[in-house]
Amino acid sequence: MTATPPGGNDDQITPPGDLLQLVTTYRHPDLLEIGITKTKHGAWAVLATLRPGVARPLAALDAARGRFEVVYEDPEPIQLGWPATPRQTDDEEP
Amino acid sequence: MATFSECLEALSTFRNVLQHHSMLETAEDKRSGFMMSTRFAALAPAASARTPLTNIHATGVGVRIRDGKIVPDEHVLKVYVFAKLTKSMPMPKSTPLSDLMRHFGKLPVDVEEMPVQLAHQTPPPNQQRNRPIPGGMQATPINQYYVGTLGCYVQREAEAEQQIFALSNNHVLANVNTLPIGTPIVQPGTAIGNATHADVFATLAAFVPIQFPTATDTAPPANEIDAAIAAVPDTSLIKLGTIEGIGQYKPVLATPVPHMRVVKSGRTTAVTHGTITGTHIQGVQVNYGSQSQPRIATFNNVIRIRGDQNNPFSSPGDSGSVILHQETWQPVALLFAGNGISTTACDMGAVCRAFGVVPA
Repeated sequence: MTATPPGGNDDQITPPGDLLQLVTTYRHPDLLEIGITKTKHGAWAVLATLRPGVARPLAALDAARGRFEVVYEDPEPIQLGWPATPRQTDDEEP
Repeated sequence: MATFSECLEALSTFRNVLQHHSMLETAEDKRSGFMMSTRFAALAPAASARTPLTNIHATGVGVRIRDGKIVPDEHVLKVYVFAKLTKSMPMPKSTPLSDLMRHFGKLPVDVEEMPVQLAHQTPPPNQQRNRPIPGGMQATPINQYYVGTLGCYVQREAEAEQQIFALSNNHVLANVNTLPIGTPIVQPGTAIGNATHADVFATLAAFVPIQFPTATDTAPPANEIDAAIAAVPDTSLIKLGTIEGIGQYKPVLATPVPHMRVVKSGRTTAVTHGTITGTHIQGVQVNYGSQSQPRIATFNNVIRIRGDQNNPFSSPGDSGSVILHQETWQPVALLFAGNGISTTACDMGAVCRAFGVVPA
């Protein structure tokens, strides 16, 4: 199997090891999801979604983020793993 | 013999006169209690048509049809009715309206039965039966009342005899861990009619079980992919390297990266474009049950995508679509969940590693 970079330098495609380590190990009761993103300037960053009503920034995450900026996303409805059942749910939101 | 242009020129006036007499006769019928005063009154198939006017549903210009055969060059004014009077019924009295059904001045009139016309909606291309079958098409296990998307084809890297597999989600090809290996997979499936064995193109070969929390779990078990493969015994039925609505893709994996522009083609929303907003996302909850009876699995290391212009990147039925890098047409992810705002996908590299396959 070949993993081919779609373009750009390798450091623009592969996230830094310490960032990967952070998102795969960091947990907090107010944190719904954590992942990797990039800032609008293209720098690697932490992607975080907090429980509804929790104030941003999350102080504990701020202390753990190191050199990486945290990009917060609003919580969304739960993701649904639904196929389509024609004539019944085609018009429903997924 | 009337010409086409003579009939066409008279059509508008004929229509007005026809309507006028129909209204007069309908009023007279109501007074006399006789509801079938002309030979064009409603019959059994159109029993709800209570007046001549309601039985007549269209007018036009055409050629005469006599005893079911077209009479060429005999141009006529046409009156289309839902149902004609049968010969066994008594001929009605002569009225201005019934006379109009025979001639309008010197122009001949022909009454033609044309039952209610039903609008048949053609399914979108991704939902139609298609042979050979490219990626992006609707597919489902046989006898299941749901449909998803066949993403693309993959093959085992090491095997001397290259077995080709169709790739989609566990919740599409295996109905969330429940279908036995060997279950026939059909295209297009139940949306446009009952599937038959002629629709079978593959059989379920393997799936990665989706793990759900149990009463004894202290933490929810983590999943990384929702994927299954189905063996394709006859490769003449399929079209390798192509996705419906997109065309050819490059069958070499690419790494998903935040801000990468992506495209997919799926059963429900067809071709949509979007951007990867996050990768390696941990703790994503996905509901495989209903809203009233949720069945939630947790996923790690998944990818989040948003559609362009705030349009959904996916909808139910797009599950199983392969997501391509928009610039290089390389597979980067396998779509498996969404909420109308964002879409969640698993890393195509992780999918391929799980089955020991590469894109075909």
